[in-house]
Amino acid sequence: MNAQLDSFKYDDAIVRKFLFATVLWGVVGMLVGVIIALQLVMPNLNFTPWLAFGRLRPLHTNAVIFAFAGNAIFTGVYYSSQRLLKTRMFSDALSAAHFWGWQLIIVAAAVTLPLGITQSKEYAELEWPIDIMIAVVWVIFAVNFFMTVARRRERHIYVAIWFYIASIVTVAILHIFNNLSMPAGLFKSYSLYAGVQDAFMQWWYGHNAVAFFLTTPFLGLMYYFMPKAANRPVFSYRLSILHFWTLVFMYIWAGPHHLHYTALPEWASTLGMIFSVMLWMPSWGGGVNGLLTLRGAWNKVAEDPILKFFVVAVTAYMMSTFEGPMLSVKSVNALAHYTDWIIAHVHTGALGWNGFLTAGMLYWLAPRLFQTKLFSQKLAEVHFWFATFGMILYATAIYSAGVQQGLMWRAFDETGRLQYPDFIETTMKLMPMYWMRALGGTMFLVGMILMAYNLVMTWAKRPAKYEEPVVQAPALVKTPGETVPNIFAGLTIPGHRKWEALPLLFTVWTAVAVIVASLFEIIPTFLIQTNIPTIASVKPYTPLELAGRDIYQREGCFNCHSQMVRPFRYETERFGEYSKPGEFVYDHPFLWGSRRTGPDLAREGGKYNNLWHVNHMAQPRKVTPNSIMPAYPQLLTQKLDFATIQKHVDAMAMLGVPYGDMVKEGAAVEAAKAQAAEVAADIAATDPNYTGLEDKEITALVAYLQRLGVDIKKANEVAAARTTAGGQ
Amino acid sequence: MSAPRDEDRLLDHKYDDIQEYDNPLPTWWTVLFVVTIIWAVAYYMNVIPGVGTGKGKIANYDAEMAAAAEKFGTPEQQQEAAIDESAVTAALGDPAKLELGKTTFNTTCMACHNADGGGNIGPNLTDDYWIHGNSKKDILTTITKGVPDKGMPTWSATLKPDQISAVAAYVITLHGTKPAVAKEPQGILMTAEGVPAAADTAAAK
Repeated sequence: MNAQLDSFKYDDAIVRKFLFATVLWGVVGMLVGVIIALQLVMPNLNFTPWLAFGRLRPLHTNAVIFAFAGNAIFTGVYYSSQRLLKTRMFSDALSAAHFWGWQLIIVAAAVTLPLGITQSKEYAELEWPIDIMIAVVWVIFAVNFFMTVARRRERHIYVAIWFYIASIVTVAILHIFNNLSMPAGLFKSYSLYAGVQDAFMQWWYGHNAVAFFLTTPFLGLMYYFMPKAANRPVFSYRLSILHFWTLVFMYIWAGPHHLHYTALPEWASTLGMIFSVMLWMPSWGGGVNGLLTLRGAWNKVAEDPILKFFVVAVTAYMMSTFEGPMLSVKSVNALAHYTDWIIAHVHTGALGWNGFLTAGMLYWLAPRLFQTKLFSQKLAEVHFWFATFGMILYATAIYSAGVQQGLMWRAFDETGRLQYPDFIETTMKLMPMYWMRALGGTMFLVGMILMAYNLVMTWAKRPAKYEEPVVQAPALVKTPGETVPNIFAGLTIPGHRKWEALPLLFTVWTAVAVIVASLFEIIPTFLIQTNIPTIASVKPYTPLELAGRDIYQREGCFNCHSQMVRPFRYETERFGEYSKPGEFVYDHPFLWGSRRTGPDLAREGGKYNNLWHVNHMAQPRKVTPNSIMPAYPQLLTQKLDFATIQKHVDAMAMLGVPYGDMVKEGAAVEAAKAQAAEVAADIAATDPNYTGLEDKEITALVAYLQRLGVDIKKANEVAAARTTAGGQ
Repeated sequence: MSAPRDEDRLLDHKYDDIQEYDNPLPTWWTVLFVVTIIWAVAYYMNVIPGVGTGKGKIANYDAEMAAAAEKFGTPEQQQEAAIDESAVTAALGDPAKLELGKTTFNTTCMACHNADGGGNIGPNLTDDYWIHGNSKKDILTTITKGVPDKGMPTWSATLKPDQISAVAAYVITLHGTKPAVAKEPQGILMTAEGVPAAADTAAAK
């Protein structure tokens, strides 16, 4: 090697910024988590509409995933990529734009979600202007990252970089295609897809947000920080290659396992299941490589809190990537779906894997970034135990809650009737476990606050001026093979080494793996007509019902109420006829929900009279003693915004919903007012105390709830729909 | 076969001082991976219509419903079984049953008819006016099958037959009590059980 040595400096200032953002949003996101956990046991804590459970729950998930875990990823990526590629980040300006852009998005989320501005798709709640901001900032990140790769002084790219590449490419694809929507105002849009197809796209996105935002980037971080902290070589390069490619290719298929027994065609959910099961070993490959890297370093684990955090992180990763495939098996899923079991599963992943890995990484980074000793090793140790016991308490409580409620829902007595026909009975049983969960979550939060204090105190001891050491590395000399790469080079594992020297090609193949796997499911979902047999009696929502649906979305009702009855006797006995694909063709977006904190509403229409709903929304506990639903008395006084109805109907019509003459200027508003007057008159006739509701929001919401699931009853098409929707 | 030591497999490259072994894949890992793939293919084959034994979720559901109907009767038959006038008569003379009726009423019916039966969302149950009849059979039918058009739910899905007869008996005992707050009369004036007063009707709603 007689290449000339280049001198350069790493940009650690940007890493410090991301580190502080990680800690700040981590504390905020988990604090919101504790608040909503308490709201479930003390419904009176829903004291303002802005901070009610339905609006705070998306804030919690978004804050933890995109703000906390997101900034953690960027912290680790900006630190490790520069060192693994032996170059400074491509552009300090792009780095700054990425940092401030991302924080701006988080602030926008923190403002809009409590205001009820939402697309109502899980982890994709943010409305279209913010979605565009996310896309722009992500592209800035991608350009900065890939240009850094291009300017590297290390010929081959290390496994951590592979995972970063897969994450950056796939998140961009997922984000764009799930968020395609028709704007109906600055803060309102309707998903481009409807019903079954919208559900499919959402869980293709939702599951892979877990994969490519919470798994692959963190595996990349693990591959850098774990061998660094343990000072041991990675266990197996071959395993890295095999588990990387199988993970990237197989993960993308797994999404439909979120929709078992729903109106999604069964072939899709079966594919989701079998790929999830096959995904078990590819996922564990990372865990095996992580834990076996510690061989010969286990003695250090006892005294080093950083390694302790890493060990728990990888263990939690392996537990939840075993549990994931298990939950994807239909018979297990039948019990677990809609219950707290799923909440427990994601928290094993989020608290255990993402939380612990981030903590270990930040403790490892702090002395290096702040160029001084960690303020207190002991406090880090205390944090570890708080986090561990907090997580165990949380998980134990909420696993028990999930299994117990799932079993109660399906229990029949000896006469063949539901053992617990009253839904509220199953809710009340969970309360002790909900208290325990809140306690566990609080302990985890306390741990986070200890870390925040520890890191700030470390920062306070920083030198007056940070040293910026000059790094030297030989420049990369271009070889002729690089300009015209053979795209099939490296298809066998021994040849993989060639790919690692060709990052552009590596990226292309990663994208191909992800896109091809996606298309195998997406194309049939959209093209096969028999997937969604039409039902003639299913008609679009009236303008007033659509306005009610908007309110249902704004208040986040779908966070606690599903609208999807599965074909099981214990579901149809409780809620009514199971849901058919053809019932959702005008549902932009779909609102099937994923957790039944309250009962399913798919067949709510006509179950109770209008007045019942008014009383129930005003104070649920007056109608259902012990209900944990927030009260919505403001809906009885807030005026319905008739002015936007026409715009909303027009947007739906542009998506292909047959609104006919309703799109004529003012027609929708007129129809809405007429229906509102009817509903309000019926309410006033049953209880004369309620007058003047015809221009209030409650009227629209009641109209919507009374419409749910009734179309199919109008014509006796149940049998017909059943025969055509059957089979695989 | 004696595996070479890790150190023999150490790759000669360093990434920011990180080294990698080139250890072979753990055997159990490879075996389990192959097993899951074989299982996946077999499972999918099995649920292809006409190929395997899997019938799909709707066929399974229909079979489940048929089996339950065979064993417990159809939902309609179960409803009819709950409409048992003699059980109401018996409950009227049984303090324990009346207590069960009261408890059931206070958890299930109170929200719409008030604890004292005076009515709010639903009609007053204490006066002489009845929308759907006041005979034991009529009351049982109203509770069991509901009146979906008027917002009275179908309680046979939620209440067991002994609860339904007990609550019907309890409703009969409420008749003639004078609640402090009572809803205006609705339906037909009934002079005795099952006997409507001719031509004297309140505005039916």
